Amino acid sequence: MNNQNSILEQIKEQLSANEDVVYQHFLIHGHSCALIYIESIINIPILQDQVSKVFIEQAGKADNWESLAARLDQGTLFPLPYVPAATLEEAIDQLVQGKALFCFNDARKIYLFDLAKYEKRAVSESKNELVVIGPQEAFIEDIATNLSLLRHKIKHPDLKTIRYEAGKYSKTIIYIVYIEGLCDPNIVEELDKEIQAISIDGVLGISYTAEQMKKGNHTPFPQFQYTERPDSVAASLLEGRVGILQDGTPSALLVPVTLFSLMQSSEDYYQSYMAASWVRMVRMFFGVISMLLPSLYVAITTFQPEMIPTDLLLTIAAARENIPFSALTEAFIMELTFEGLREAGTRIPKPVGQTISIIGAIVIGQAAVQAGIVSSPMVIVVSITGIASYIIPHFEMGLALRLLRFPLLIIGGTTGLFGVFILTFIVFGHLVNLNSFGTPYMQPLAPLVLSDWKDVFVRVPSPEMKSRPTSYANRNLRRQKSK
Amino acid sequence: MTRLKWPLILLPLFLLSGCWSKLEVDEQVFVFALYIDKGDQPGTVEVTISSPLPNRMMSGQQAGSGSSNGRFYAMISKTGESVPDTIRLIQKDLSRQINFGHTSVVVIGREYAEAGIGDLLDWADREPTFHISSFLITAPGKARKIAELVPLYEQMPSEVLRRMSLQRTLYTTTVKESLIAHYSKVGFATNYMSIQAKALPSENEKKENWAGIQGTALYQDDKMTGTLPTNEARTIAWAADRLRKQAYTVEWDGGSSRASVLFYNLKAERKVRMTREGPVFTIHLKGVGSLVYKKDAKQRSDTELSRIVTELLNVKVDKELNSALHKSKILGTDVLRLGLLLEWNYPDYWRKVRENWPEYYKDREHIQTESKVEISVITNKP
Repeated sequence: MNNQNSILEQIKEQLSANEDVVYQHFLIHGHSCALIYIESIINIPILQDQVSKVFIEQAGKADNWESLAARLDQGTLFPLPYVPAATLEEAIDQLVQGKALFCFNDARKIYLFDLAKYEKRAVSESKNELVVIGPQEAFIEDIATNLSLLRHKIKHPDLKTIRYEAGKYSKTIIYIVYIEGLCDPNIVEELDKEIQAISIDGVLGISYTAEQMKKGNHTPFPQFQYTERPDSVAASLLEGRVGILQDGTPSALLVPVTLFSLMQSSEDYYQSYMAASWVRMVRMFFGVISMLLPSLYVAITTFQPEMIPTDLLLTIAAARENIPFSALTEAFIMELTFEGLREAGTRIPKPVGQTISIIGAIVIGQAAVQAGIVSSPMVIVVSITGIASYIIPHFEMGLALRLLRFPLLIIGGTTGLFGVFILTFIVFGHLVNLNSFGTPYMQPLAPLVLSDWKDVFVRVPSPEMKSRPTSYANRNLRRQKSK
Repeated sequence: MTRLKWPLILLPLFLLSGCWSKLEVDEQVFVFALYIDKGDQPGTVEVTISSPLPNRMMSGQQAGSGSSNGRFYAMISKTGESVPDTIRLIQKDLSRQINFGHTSVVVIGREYAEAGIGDLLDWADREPTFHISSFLITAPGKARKIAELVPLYEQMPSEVLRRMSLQRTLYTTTVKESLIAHYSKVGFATNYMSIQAKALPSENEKKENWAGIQGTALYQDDKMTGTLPTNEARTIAWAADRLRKQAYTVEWDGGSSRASVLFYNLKAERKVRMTREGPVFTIHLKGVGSLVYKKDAKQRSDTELSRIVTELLNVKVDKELNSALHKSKILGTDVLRLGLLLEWNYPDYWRKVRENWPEYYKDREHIQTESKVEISVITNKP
């Protein structure tokens, strides 16, 4: 900072088009100084109370400029923590991130006060992962609040948080959270490397981070678990998984994942184990339905009608009579319409949202059948499939199964059951081949780990789950005192 | 290799299947029942297929009568030289592809049965879409006549015949069993239908054809040899282990006392042992039933009564079985498939007699019978 211009001038020059920057000038013992901040991201009352006011008081009490400057240097002038800025660039960088600058023009020194205050909403109920019993709160966009929610659940010094900053312009804060001693250190190391390597302009949502880390991994199946529930994150950390929190996004990432972890819901652990086990099996069943039902229906009716019970065949045959399309085309029309309706339902502004349901129900459910364009069994099949894809608790997983439905449908309509089986087999092969941060995707089914089956298809009562699942870290397995 | 991976995976798939083998449901005729008769010219066969007409069953209304637009089913008859020939002839005139995947009943006319059903059995053996678990039934006159029965509870006559067979009230036989019997030279039996015009109250006393089972038709070597009336048919069905429930009535005190027993657990055991004179077969019949009706002239106690009824029933069942077996011997029809029992236990002996088994069964076979019934007396007596 040896420039001949005063540093205040330099700052003003660099922030020339930033008209929301406030410059508050002071003149103390003949020396000029200024408080510079951006009004919208600074906690103004504290700034006035603890900085401006204190400074004027102290300046009045001080005998001369030198003693004041000395105390400022020692860091004892203000009741707040503050640090000197090393360079002008750093100071300006910090200014836009919510720091207030205290600039001494003559001494050519700048001090930084961390008084950032961004607008945020209050902690609200979880909207996308509902539970009936159990905690209701969900993460919000503010990272500090999210960490506080998590620290509220796990109060142990082994809960580690590693801070990163990503995005050239967004400078988004990312935290890796894990419990030391429970998780696999290799995963933390790998995540560390991946996050350090992120080099993009802005990281606006956590899926940016996820996609950057997923490089070259082409699979429809999710490699990360998204959750907006602090309790899900806490439970996963206790199982030895690693969480990633990011500022500005109300959901967290969890790694590693397995197919079965994506079929579980937090609710499973809050309900009685019998109800939870039953619901879990229903979920698995509908997971399969959501992928296979339309293709099975088309394949069986067009290639293997002998397989249908006689009475059912009569009903289907009566309904198919006079339908102008083949079963495959019919299924495709219906599935596409359903996809369109679903997308429209998500994008439509709330006040006109009802229109979609009315048009959808009347056009697809009634008119298409009455007009003889599609058969009613097909409407039933597509509706069941549509419902089934939303039974899967993790949206991403449901999306993957829904995507696979279409190739299966085409192969089922052209090559029959044989093709459906072959393609299902290929999908299984792909699943077995996948891994998420070193954990096989199908564990504990493949590789077979019988001891982990207590929490896969059923959930055994909590006292029976004495050990942590081996899928994620495979260390420090005991989690309950054995009696 | 990596570039070839997907073509290699998909190649066998499209070699073995593809959209060219696709057939929509509404492009097929599902044959629910087959009726086979002797043709008018010697050496010909008349085949009738019965299939539903889905275009007449508007979806959602099939349970209703819908008689306004005719019947729900079609019957198509053709005469030809053999069964497969005739089916081709029928196919020739149809707009849709015939599918035998849902054929559940095959009815044979008596004349055709007596001339031999080898033609039909051979076709059933070779037709890939035909399910050999279909029921085989014999009709007294023309098989077609059976198809004219009035389906009072069901939608189609074929459905009536299928459900009747499923009840297992008499000698229910599938094509599979007749194929086994045919190839191993033993006999088999099927239900023998009856059909007569009856005034039905539900049809405004209109005369309608009412079908029922009047007994059993016996077959040996693909030819029908004779029939057994209901009484003997039911006992032989019991001995063949295919009776589910049956009621028997006995009389004593010179006809002034009677009792009926409903058997709900019927079992049979057939055994063979070799003696110097040849094999001796033993048939044990076991039944558990409850007393459903009694008229006792002397007001006996339940204990005494059940002793009397048990004794009488044992005698009656034994008599019926023996008379049935006697008839089957006269006809040379090994209806209980004792030959298979012999083959299993004494294969060498069987090889010797196999060729002339019907003759052997007729002349030399020795069968002992024994029946043992148990009765429980359940009363609502206060």
